[in-house]
Amino acid sequence: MSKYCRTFLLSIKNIHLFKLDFYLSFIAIPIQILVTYFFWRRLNLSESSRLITVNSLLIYYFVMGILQISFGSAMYVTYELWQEINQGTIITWLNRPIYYPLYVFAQKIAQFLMNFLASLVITFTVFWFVGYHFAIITFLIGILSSLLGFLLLFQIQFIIGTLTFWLKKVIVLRDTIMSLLFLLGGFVLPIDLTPQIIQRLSFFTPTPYIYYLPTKILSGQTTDLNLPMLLCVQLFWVMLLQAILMLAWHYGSHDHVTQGA
Amino acid sequence: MTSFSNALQHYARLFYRYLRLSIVENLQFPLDFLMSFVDLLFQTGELALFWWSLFKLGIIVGKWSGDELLLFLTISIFSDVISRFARGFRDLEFHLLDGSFDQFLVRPLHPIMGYILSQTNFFGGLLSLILASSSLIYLLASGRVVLHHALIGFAVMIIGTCAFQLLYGLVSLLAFWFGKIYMAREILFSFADAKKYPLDVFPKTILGFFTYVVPLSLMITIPTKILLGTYQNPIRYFILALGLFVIFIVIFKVVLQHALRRYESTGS
Repeated sequence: MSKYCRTFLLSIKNIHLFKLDFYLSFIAIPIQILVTYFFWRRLNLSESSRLITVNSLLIYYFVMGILQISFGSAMYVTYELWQEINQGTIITWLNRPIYYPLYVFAQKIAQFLMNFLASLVITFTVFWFVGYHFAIITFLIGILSSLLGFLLLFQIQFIIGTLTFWLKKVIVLRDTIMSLLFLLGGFVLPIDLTPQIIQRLSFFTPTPYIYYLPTKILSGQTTDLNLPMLLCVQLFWVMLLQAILMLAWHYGSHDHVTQGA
Repeated sequence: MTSFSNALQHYARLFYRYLRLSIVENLQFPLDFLMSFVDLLFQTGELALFWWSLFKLGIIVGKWSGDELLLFLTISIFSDVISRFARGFRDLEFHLLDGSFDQFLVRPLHPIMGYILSQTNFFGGLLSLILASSSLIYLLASGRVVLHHALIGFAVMIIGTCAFQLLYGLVSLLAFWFGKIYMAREILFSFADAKKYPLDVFPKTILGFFTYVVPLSLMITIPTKILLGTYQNPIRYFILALGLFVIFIVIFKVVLQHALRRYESTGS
């Protein structure tokens, strides 16, 4: 276990190399929020849409933007694995006394935690600045849910990457699945504002548990949510995808000869 | 005149070759081929879902009806087909930094043109074009919309999109001087997210900025409104789009000349 802890610590030390890129990425959020604000402010929110307020939407999109930046490290997992397998360099990792998925996870979780910590500080500051109040317990649950959301994203990306053993090209597949995530994961609109059929469809997949659920909790918009049940379902998806990941990795890395190996 | 016609034929041939190459490449991987369709449908579905949800909630978007928004969505897919040609600008810095841009300097084609063509996903563009055309045919055949000033509307959309992408390319050329500009450029262009909304619902100052400075509204909103017959005198938007396009292309050419002169191959 110590080797994974060391990998984790080493990744934290490496983060300062990309610090500027990371902090610069936050500048994009206010621009996007401004665009959202101008759009929603001018709409005629009729009787049937009284549930929606411009402020609640802005908070939602702000937290969603923060989570997108924090989860950034997991978005490269498929690409990196695809390259390692196709170039044959994966063999150097398979020969070492490590469990490769856990090794990659140790790196990515370190980046996530550091980014998330900085994101939380920025979120607290913005909430304080705009006078937005939230319950500490909800916020703590939000952190837990974000952690599980990150795990789900990592697992999905890793499973797609592992498919390279069989498919050779997986980047378009990844893009398609990420498009599905954007479609059903609350990126376009909060899922509770989409038509019923989309809501039902969405909650049959792991997509709302990656960004949507943590965003709703962290932005304090939990009145219509059955939190304990949703967290259990989130945990269920984490366990299911972990089982799929381990199986796919086991068969992929044992049964296939890597190119260049 | 003859040399112009020869050049046009030359580029048409190149275009056709790259299109064939892209199709053949995509057909080599059947899953990729299938996923390209699905991905395009999901991407279009995002915008469709957005507008559908707003209508279900009874939210009125300015003076836009459902059918008009469907046309707006269709024009946005057409605009995306053209924007695909500028995708290469996004990764230009990586090719400059690892030296792979050098290969375009020795080809019998303008380096930036060769680079852009090699980076374009023609197959994806073709799929988008089919989707947008199908949607337009459906709208027209079902009588949901009647097109006015079709020629001017599509011309503004094409020229406006080219002008905006030239601006994006212009900023991307800064990579020749500064190397890594990815994050700074993405921040600068994060306002481009606004193009998914009909920009006439924005305050007048912002709409003015997105029309006369950054031609974002000339990509989708104004062409759609021209096609819907909203404007009495749409030709002024055509002149505006053309004017901005000429200005950007002149600046682009000057900057590109300096950039290529400065480029000293790998590691420069």
